[in-house]
Amino acid sequence: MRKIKNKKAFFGALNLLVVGSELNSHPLLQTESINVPSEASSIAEIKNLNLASLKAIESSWLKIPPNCKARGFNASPSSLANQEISTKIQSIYSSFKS
Amino acid sequence: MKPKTIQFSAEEIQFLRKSFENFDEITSFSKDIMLSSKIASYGIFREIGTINDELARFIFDATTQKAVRLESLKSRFIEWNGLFGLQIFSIDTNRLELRTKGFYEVIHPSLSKNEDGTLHSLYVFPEIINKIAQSEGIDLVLVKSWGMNSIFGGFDPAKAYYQTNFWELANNDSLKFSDLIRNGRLAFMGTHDLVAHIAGMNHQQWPLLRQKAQNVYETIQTYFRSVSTPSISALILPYTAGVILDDLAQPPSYGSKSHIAVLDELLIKISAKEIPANLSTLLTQFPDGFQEIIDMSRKHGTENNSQEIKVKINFFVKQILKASLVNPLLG
Repeated sequence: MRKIKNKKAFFGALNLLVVGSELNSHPLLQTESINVPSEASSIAEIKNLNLASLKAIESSWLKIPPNCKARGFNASPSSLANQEISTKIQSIYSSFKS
Repeated sequence: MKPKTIQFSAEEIQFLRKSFENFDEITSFSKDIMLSSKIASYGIFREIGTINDELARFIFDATTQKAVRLESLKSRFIEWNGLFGLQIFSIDTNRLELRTKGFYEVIHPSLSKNEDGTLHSLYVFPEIINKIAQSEGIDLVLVKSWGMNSIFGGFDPAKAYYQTNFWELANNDSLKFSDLIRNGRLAFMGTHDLVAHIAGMNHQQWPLLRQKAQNVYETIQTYFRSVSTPSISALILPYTAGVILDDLAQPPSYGSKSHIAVLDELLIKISAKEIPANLSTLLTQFPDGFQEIIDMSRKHGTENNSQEIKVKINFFVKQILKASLVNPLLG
């Protein structure tokens, strides 16, 4: 059984799951063949595990800077932006005048 | 005619929300331009002056030459010439200047400017911005699920992030985002959309962008074919691809070779299915290799180091696998 390093996050995540049996985990890295479980049971199980995963990864997720995540703008303030707008855009603004 | 300030009552906000709920998942601005203008304005309004304000760091005090204080930024709804929009201003100064590509294009020039060329306010009219986008061949849209998570909920100012940001991972939003881009569409519902994607947009860059979005869409679609509920572990690589594609869809990063090189390798890795898409796993830690991948994609010249790209992405995959517990519960 792979040693769980972040026990606090792991057991916190398990609070969201119904623990009915002894834990038995096999790291994917050491598994040569993987048996895909039947779909009927796996969907509910995966949904529960996903909720637990999001709880478990929250602290490590927060360490990632916002601009590295989705909806982060990859740019820094530069010098004064070009204040000249194109003739095309000027005419669009003009078309909305009263 | 001067712009008139408009106040939204709680009932009007509720009406706006109900109307938005009745939209299709993807709705073009042009379908109901006034309602779309109000929703986009409300989305920007909710972000101005908060941790989610993506405009703030590009708004400078022309006198001090420093970025205005985030807390000094305020906004109010306005109507002008039948248009609905937003006035953004700083309580610290009425001499503003903007410091990112294309920002001046999305601000009404005559309403916003002082005589000396600085800005006293930023007047933003989504209907005009929609017309600018159309002139570039881009269709601005509202995305219902995204809006319900951000504009109309999920934002806790006490947290350092939109709750939605988490759900972009869980909901596989990279698939939706790549679908929009490949079809020549952009969401417009907040400050990120305005300053990161719309300001400075250029139709000449979009053929390549749409092709890359097509690649991302097809790869993720194939990876999750027949998988109704992917695990969080399996969603990380697609999420990463989506972040890189988002960068590519930003005018300052249009056509970036470093982004394209990393994205292409990432898509190869997704297609290789080293992380099974439908396996029950508990993810115990978000891999810090993610930031290395994003930083690498943003570094000029990365495209010349294909070996480094492969090594770092391989390491990233191994981190995900190592942090994933397989079938932690057995019945």
